[in-house]
Amino acid sequence: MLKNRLIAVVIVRDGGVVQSIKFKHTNVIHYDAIHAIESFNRWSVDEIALVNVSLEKSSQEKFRQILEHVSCECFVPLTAGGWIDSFEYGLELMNSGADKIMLNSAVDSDPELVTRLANHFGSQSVVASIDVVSEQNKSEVFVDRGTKATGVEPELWAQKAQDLGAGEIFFNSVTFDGARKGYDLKNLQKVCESVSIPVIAFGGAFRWKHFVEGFKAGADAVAAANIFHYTEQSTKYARRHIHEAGIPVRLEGMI
Amino acid sequence: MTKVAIVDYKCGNIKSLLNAFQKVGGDPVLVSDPNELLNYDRIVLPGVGAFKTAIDSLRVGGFIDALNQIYLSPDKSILGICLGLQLMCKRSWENGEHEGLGWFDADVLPFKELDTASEFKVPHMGWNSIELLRNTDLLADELNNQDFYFVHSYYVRVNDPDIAVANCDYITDFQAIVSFGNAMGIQFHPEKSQFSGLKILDAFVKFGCQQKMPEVANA
Repeated sequence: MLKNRLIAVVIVRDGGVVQSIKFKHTNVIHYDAIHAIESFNRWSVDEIALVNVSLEKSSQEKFRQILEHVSCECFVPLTAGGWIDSFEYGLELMNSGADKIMLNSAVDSDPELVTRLANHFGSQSVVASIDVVSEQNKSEVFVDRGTKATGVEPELWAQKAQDLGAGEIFFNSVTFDGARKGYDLKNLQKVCESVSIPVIAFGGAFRWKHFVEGFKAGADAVAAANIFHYTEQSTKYARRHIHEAGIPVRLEGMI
Repeated sequence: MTKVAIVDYKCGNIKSLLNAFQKVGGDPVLVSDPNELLNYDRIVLPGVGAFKTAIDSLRVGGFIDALNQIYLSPDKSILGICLGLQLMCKRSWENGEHEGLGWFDADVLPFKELDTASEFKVPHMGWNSIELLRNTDLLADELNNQDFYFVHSYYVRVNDPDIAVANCDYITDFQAIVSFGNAMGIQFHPEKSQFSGLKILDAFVKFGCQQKMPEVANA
């Protein structure tokens, strides 16, 4: 039986692994990303996503080097995202050990790039991420690391990304990021219902039950960053909780 | 260190394979010259993307003869991964009908044309368990029911049940591993399937994947 996936997200800024709260990154968790990757590998996480949230485009090459470095110790699928603004840089990341690349702002600013990368590597290698800002009556997608409003509703954005050739949606919430109250389930569910490609839930998971809520809202995979870094053996406990809730999950390394 | 030649025909991401073979103590070498390929005893045929593009690249690169020669050399072992497995089959029905290397009496078929496909997402992507049908040098009992990482939109169905080594279930029962002679094909990605996957690559480096002839009992 096909299992639901548990994904660890490693957020990289200026070469270090950082914590993220409402898209602000103050605490450095690791100075070398390889320590995070080695732990996640040992704890049997199903996939790893490495995301460059540096403010400068000049971070591209350093990020590529980190990716290349960590990929040598990563034996689960590895996604790389952040600052992918050209076909050539996407290709470089794929050649540096990424199995998938994740695009965000390009869906808005350079939709053709998404299609070109999907045509070249196959849709299964192209992930589109969505950063949602939600207020009481209104939700919209932001780009440029959560700084620029697009006025587009999350489900329309997701459909557009799917039409452009993306093979997966990575759902993130600026509002829920680091808030420790679980995923933005309302918008997550809308996005899940609007596309036929897999959706990954991210942003806000702090308790094991939040993962179960994400799956129940329709996500194919659940992701977290902070919680995994700060709890020893975290992914194993998460897996046990999901399994006990009756959701099919890989049991390797389960506590 | 045992050298492992990885066929470099510009179809797919091979960095992960290089990393994985290094991890298990092999010495992976990317080989883009078909004649040079004949110097190795362990060969890996990777592949990602469309069947026709891949078989055409092998043809244009002059690899077909070399691969057939390797297949016919009993002391060599060749391992196909993902599309690599599919290329070893007789025929693929991915956007038309295309001939493969023809080592396995098997067809490559689209998930999407199955009756119940609309209830499932295609590609089949993620971790799924395999049912081991028989043991080989590469695959011990401990791998039975283990989860491996799959990403594919087309599946392999053998016409000769004897060459099926492991099955997997997604929309339908299909072949996760096929083996005949000194060739073995794996639908999932062992290089991305953590400990269980690395075990397979480790065994390939150490033992190859030649099929032992059944011993005939002395009368």
